[in-house]
Amino acid sequence: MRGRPRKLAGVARRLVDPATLEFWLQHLDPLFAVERVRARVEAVQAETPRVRTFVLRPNRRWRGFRAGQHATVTVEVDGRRLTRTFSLAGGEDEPTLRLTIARQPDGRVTGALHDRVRPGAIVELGQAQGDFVLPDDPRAPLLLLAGGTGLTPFLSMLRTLAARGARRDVVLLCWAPRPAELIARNELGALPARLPGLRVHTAFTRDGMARFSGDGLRALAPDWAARRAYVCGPDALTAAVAAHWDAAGLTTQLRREWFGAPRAAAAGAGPVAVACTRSGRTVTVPGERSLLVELEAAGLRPAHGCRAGICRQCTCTLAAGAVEELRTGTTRHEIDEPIQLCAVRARTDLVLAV
Amino acid sequence: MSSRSRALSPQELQAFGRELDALRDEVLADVGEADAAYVRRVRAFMRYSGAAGRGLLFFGLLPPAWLAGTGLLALSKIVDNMELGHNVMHGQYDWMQDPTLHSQTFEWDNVCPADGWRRTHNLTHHTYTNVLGKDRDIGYGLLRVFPEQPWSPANLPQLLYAGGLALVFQWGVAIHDADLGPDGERRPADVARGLAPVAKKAARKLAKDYVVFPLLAGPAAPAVFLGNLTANLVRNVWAFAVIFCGHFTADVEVFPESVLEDESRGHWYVRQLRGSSNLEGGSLFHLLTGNLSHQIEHHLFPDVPARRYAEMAPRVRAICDRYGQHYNTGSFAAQLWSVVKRIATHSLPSFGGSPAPVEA
Ligand code: FES
Repeated sequence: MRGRPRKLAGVARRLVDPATLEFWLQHLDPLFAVERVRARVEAVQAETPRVRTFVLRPNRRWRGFRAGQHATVTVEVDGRRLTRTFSLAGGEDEPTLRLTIARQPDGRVTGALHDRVRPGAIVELGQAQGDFVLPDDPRAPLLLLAGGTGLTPFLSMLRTLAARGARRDVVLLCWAPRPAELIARNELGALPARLPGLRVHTAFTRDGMARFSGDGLRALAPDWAARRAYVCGPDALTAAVAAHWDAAGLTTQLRREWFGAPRAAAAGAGPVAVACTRSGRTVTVPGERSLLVELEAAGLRPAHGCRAGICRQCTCTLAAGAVEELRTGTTRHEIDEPIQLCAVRARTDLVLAV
Repeated sequence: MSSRSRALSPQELQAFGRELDALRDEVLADVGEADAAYVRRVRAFMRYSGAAGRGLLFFGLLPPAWLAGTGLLALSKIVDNMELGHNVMHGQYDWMQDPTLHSQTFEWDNVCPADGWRRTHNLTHHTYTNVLGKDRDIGYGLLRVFPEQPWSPANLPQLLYAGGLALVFQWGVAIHDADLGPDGERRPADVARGLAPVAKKAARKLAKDYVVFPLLAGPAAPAVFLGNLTANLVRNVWAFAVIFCGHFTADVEVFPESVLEDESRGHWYVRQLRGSSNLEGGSLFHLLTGNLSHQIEHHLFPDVPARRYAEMAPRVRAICDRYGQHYNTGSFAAQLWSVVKRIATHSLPSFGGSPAPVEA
């Protein structure tokens, strides 16, 4: 069934350019894409006042994922395609994908997702990525520490294990401001019945209950040091947890997943590291003059023309980090944002497609 | 050559540049959803009209179908090249972060490969606009359009050359500069290297318009062949007329290379202004010219979405008035006539004259 259309698409791709092919074929199937993953929103469910789960059905370009991985979501906001990364929350074997997303204060993408994306809408995804996944050894006891929507990768793991009827020794500790803000609250209550060996402990930080502490951890999981540990949540939580494991000399036993984007916030004076993905080189530049000038001084040869912001020959995509426009002082830090090397300077460490 | 604009002091140049910068920033801050929807509508129109035109040409043995099909295909090619391709390749829609509308990867329905265009047009022409010896769009290396260019007897019949260039304009653009090395010199190796991508692109375009689609039409093959040929010619002549009216009308000026040394932003703006001229008309006319009817605004703000030029034009004009700078605009007929006169006049040798200074 799948073979023939794919072959036809292969032939068509060589004759017609992919964008034109997609334009016409999307009249028949809105999910059609030559390479990109497009997904239809099948349902939107309220988890808490701030958090919603989006149930997505991807097209055939989606290559699957492992529980705990994340993927990018691209939506259009004010005519701009903006991209953010979210952990996948559903089980590996489910026919649809689940993204559980909190509305961030001033978040343009999460705001647009909450306000405008309804069942039937089409969004674009990147392929799943990340090594925040369960250990290969199925007997290793686990300790999962989650703060807020940092619970999502763990939900994916637990849903996968439960659906497969696995037996696993798992301790899950999750923090939320108050009970009404705990995502998947009912499911968390029901999961231990489906997944023997799972113990769930919740703590509510606004109700006077403790935040993460070594003593609290020892009380709930005396064998914590013998477990493979995972932490995902706000910086304050992951930092406190990482410090605890570091102090015990167990740094390698802990896996840490960040979420939220502290990209622009980290801007500071001083030299920055620029990783160039095309040339495979990483160089250090002062971040004072234009990136074009500074990359050249560092021995790179980026494409350019006028050196004055006119010709766009120096345009390249910013994969990560923040830059500042020299003339206007505007900061640019969107994922995959096109920037003109001759017209910006580095503000943070950067990853550039140069 | 005398100028209809007065020379500005360095302070005035700086202030002039700041006012235009402010206008640019104001408009760019407002660019968003409406502009994204617009460029997608333009692209959809280009594709629908192209498909309808090619479809109708399959019935091209019937004269009305041939006429309508050829007309729609010509329209589609014009929109593809002008309002869509030219503007997208300037980066006017890069902010959308849409890989299908990105300046550095866009391709168009033209035998000139987009990469070559980005170099000769966006870089050479827009940076060195009307600088003699640098901007190779001045007369396209074929015509003498300014008294500052050297005269030779070969210029005598240049009105005829211009007519010929109009018919094959896309080819002129494609090979124009493609055969130059990176230093602007022409060597046999550079010619081969430069023309290879042109040949490849042209082969694709020729095969599509003159082999594949005629063959698909079976008995109507000659009608399709002729329709495609006519559509390409119409697009060529139209693009030629619009572009020549943007730079070679009566009052536009050329500059010596020396202006490029330490050129200020204000000076750059003045040079763009004095090197360009506008065409007046309705909104359909502006669309068909790819908004190059606002050539002045385009040269001042090449990466601002072109649909915004119409709203910027009166404000640019008001700024120019305050600084005593001539704002060169007129009807299409009047500007085209002045281009014809200019080409005719400079087919004969001229005496005296030197470029007017921008800076007092
Ligand atoms: S080099 Fe021309 S825009 Fe940067």
